[in-house]
Amino acid sequence: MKNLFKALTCVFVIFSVLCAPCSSFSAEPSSDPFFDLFSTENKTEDNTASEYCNLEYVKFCENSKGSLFVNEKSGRFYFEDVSGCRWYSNPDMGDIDENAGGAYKMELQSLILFQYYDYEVKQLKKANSEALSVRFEDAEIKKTKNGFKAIYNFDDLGFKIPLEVSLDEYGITAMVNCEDLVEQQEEKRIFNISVLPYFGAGASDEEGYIFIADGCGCVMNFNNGTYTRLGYSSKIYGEDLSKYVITKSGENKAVNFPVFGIKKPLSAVTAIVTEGAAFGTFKCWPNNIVTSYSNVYTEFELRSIDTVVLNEDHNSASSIMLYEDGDINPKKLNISYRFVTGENVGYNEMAATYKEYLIQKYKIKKTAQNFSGISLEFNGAVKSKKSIFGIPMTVDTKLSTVKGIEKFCKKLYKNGIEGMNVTLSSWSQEQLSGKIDNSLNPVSCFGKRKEIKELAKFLKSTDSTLALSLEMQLFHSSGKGYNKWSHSAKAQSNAPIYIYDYYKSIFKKNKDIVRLRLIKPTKLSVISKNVLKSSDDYDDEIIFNLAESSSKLYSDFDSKRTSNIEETRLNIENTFKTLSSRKLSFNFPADYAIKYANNAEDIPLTSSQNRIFDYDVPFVQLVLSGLVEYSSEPINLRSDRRKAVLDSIAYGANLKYSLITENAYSVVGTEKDSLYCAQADNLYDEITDYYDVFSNISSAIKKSIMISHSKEGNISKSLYSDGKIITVNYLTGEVIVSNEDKEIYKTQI
Amino acid sequence: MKSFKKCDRVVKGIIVLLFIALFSCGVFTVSAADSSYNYDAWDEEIDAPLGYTVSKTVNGIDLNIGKLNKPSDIYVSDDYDVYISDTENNRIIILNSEFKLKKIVDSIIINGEESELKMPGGLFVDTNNEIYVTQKEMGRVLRMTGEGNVLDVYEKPASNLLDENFEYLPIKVIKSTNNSVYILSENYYYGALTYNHSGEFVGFYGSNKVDVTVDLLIDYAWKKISTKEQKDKMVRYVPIAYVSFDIDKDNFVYTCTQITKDSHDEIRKLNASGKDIINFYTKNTASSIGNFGDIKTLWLMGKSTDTQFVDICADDNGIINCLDYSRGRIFQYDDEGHLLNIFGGIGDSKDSFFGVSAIDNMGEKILVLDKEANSFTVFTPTNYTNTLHKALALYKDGMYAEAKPLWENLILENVNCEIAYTGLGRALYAEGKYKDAMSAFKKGYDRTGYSLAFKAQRKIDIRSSFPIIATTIMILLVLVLTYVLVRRFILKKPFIKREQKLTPVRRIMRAMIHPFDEFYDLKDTKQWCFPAALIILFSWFVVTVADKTLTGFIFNYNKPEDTNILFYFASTCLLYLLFVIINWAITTLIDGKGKMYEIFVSCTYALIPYIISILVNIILSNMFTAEEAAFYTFFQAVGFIWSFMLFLGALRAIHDYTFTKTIFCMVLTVAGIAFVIFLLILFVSLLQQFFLFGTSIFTELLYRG
Repeated sequence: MKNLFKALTCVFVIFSVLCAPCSSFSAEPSSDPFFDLFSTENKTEDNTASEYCNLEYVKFCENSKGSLFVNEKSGRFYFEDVSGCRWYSNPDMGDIDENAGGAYKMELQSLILFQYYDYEVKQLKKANSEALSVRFEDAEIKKTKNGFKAIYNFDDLGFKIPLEVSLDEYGITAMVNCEDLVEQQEEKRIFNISVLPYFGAGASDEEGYIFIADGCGCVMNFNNGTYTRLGYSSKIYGEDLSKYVITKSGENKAVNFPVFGIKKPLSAVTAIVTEGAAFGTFKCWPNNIVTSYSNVYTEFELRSIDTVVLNEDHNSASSIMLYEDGDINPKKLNISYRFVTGENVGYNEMAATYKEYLIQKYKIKKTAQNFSGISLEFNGAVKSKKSIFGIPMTVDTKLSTVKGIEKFCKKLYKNGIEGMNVTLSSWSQEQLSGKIDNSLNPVSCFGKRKEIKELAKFLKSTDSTLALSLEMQLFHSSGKGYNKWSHSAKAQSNAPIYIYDYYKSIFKKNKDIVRLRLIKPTKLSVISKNVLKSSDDYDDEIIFNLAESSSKLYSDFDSKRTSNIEETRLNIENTFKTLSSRKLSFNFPADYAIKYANNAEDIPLTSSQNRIFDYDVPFVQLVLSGLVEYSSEPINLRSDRRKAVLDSIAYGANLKYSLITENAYSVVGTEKDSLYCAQADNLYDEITDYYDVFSNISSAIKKSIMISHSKEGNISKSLYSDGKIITVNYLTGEVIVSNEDKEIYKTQI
Repeated sequence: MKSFKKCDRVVKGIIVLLFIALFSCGVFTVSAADSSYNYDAWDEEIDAPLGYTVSKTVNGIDLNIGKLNKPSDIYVSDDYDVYISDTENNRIIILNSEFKLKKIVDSIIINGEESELKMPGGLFVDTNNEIYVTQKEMGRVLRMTGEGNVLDVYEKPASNLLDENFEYLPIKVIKSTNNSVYILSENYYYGALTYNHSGEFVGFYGSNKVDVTVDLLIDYAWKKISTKEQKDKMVRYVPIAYVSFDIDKDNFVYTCTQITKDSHDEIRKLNASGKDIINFYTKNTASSIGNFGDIKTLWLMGKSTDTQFVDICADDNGIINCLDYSRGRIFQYDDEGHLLNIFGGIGDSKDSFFGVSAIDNMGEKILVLDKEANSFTVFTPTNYTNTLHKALALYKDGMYAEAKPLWENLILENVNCEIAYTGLGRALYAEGKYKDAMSAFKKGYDRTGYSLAFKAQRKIDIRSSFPIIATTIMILLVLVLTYVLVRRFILKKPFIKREQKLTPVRRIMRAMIHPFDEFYDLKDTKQWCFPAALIILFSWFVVTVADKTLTGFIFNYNKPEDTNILFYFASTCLLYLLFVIINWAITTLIDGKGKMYEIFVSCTYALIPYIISILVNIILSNMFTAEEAAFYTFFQAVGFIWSFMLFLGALRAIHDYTFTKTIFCMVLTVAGIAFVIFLLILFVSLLQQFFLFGTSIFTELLYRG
């Protein structure tokens, strides 16, 4: 009965809100017909948008960055920056949005959205602060020293969700202290929460864009007319690997920097998830899909939900949803909104803001840009099936040999190539046998330790480096002190976490390829110490390449010792710390790994190319430039190699090749058949030609830092700290390095 | 310590579909791919470079004409104007080659009266820029100018050829260069309705064939003995209707069918008489010839998802692009059925779709219409595809030498590209480099090409080694002759045939030639040689394995790395043992005199000719070309028949049967073996189900705690 009353009240409230503007508003002149609907003849210039909805905002506090105005009933607020631009927590016209149907109308006015599981009715339900708290006058807004604290009480559900918004030296900070979050009813548990989902949302008539650090970074213009069914959603640091995946149609580019941004005509905001990033998922919607607004926000997973399918191949298949019980995982969720003002502020300034944040937080030292080298990844060996006298066997098949690599590098050196970053991958016996890699023994068909040492010595003499790729998380066989049954991390279902390879054609698990397991996060520190011990035999100058370990996060639901995703992240970070007595390199490192990185490989040249985004931007490269040397993804495996080379030049990235020294045909029929264009000798001429171009560009810009990038049509311009500009014409392939309109170097790709 | 006890069973069925949709369509938004896949000669999925990249996505907002609404067809005219049938907005949108708006046709003039263009569907634009548009809901096809002046209306023809119940629902239209108009009516299985240049209905064109299935044959047999009433109640087997078609400059019509019963022949290339002329290349797996789209079918949670073609287009070089609705993919083939490229997909990335409806090509570019996203996507070929198309065009024209550098380049770009090896093989063969050609053909799994090169190389090898062989034979002959002459005339020692003792080996050899006598004799004397029998049985197993692994490439369709001796052990030794047991069991019931031991040993003797024939064939397979396959088959047949005769002889002698009874006994034995195998399969299946049930219970208990 009470629920019915509440529902009726809601309908009444919505109806009154919808009717109210029509009767009492006077509006500013607007070009948008949507606004014209509510305009009257008595327009006054002083009327602000807030009056449309009868919301009163009170100035709570101010500092050099701007002022914070808050509605004391709902907690809705706006931040007025020094340019006079107002950043509303919720669109002021949101409550009369005709495009927003059902719950979205209420969500538009909410500061908090969440999903809770009702164990009584066994349902996951959505809720928001506006409909179930503010409208029942259950929200408590308290002024604090630098802002306010809103406590949203959901009496019916028994939840109290605190949200603190405060002014700081950069802008504002929104924080949910999960330890103060109250769940009074046993049968209701919150599973995820979205903070300020419509902050800075772009209306249909507004100019501006949303930026997300997906892959290299991408931008979605407001009102770009794109269509999506489910909106953009990408987990920070990649999906939790413990989750059950029944089908998979490919790999996403990771969001390894927990940052997004919104640009408006005279101002831009950079939103950085400073706490709880590992639980976060970026969500984004273009205009006119669920509401009239483009919005971007972070949804945090407080407890884990997993789906398990039993007997997935059979008619008797059934799925089971698993809901994590117990305490909320994150302690605190914090998003820092940092504002920059000016006419042309955009993703370049967002990158600068984020870079400053990284430098401060992780105490990273700035280094001079080293944009000179070529990164070469050599694939050592692969397991392949053979039949010897009819007996099926799995044998080690060499794709490269250390001697072959040395020969190739010598050939390159003779041709004037120096400063190479050579990485050996799939090189160790343990990696190949699916064991935890902590003894660093090379595969016999690939080479010997002695040969690797000689290779390292030679490379050192040519100002080049040698990195050995390590795999410390994935394994499928017991051995080297680790048992696949007792040392595997567990999924929520209590089964070991299995990592499958999926068919590209039908998206299903490829069960012909051995499934991998993940090591318990708590074991990582021991493994790293063992690795360090085993590495004594190798030269100190040899680098360890930790591949994508920084974005390979997972929860471990082992009943003896549970580790949530943030705890795993901390374990992984500790591993980096342990191994940092040696030089480390990473493939597309996450923010917390940059501090430990000597160089970064495989920095994506594109984003995930979601259809709602208009174009890609080199945000990650702008951040990394001057912090760490970085290379592109292997360009020999790109569909448009020329564009990849031009992108690398425009983004200031070293060129990377993924190679094999043995016969090109040796990859056919193996798991490494993705190396379909990797034979080193076949690519020799291309490598040397491009190296010439890159070394000339490098000497022209002389170790300076890329500070901004812009692209208009087919012309991209990258500005460096010494004032030089690299102009890349994607149509003609022309590359020009200039200084104050004076051409320093020009070439054609 | 945390516990994760609470769980919720989700209703099956609806969720199954939802699940598939969610997980494969975008809960995890997936990157636009930078590589693709293809299928190798063994139908295994292999990685391949991406053939096409997205150069543009165009929607109504970009064109300032408002959102498109369920656009159903796209057509690119000869002068590269793009026509879009914006169905639910009741308009045809015409864009120029730069995808800028040229015109909107939303009204038509019929007999001087202007009216709204309602629900336009399939489109075709001829060389005079006259638009042919289907209006399914109105049951007509219009021929009109770009201004909307209707020149002709193709309505339901009044013809005896049509069924009484025929519902005219035109969905696609094409026109040939000789002015014949073909119209596809939805769900109509007699093919396309054909109109001549005067607009008169003249009949049907190129209907699909009925798939011959077991069900069909059974029903056919029943119908033969059924009454008319019974027949009327039975299912009618009719061909599957086309969903779309296209026509090329030479008037070849390309058709596609959404689903066929056996997932084969979804694509057809029809000549003027409506005959399918796609000339398939030979594959390792015969079952996949004619299987278009994805070869693997997704079986998940008891449901299957297969390719469902909704549209097709072909370019002037005979490159066929087919659009798969199930997974939003474009499959590109040449006219021999080689799968060249796969791109597109379902999902949120730029190169994916939500619900594809039509495809057409604009020169090398490909345009794909998405009726759910209300946009179309322009795909541009990558360098890899450009090279591949050029090489194929030269190859088709027989310009092998000119195509050679292109094939070499393709192999450098994609070592998995089997068609490139075939092309290179042809070029090398034309250059007379037969050994290299053989190697290339082998990598391309082109047995015909390999056989040609092998034949040429064999000729060279024989010619070059002939003097050595001839000299060696001559020397051997001279030596033998000398020996004979010396022994006879100088040493005066005559060649006397000595009495030979009947050793087990000699007995076996005798049994080969005189089976009836010898097996009776063996039975009487009981001089069976058990070790010899074991050796023969083991030899059978060994030569079977050798046959799979050592047979020459031309005759060997086995994947060497998948050869598993356990399987061959079971299919030789274990099967033989089963035969012996069953035969013994049956013959004890029908007065057989043979003992198990005797059956076991005597029948192994019978295997010898078959074993020898396999051995000979292994050797010959490395010497013969495909043209000489008859000899290969001949030896195999001889070995088999000989062994069969020996079997009969052995069983007859051992059991003391008449010839007829021996045959009867063999039939019963075979039936017995089949029954035992059936029981074994049933048992294994039950065991599997039991295990599955057990693990399900265990897992559920574990999850639910």
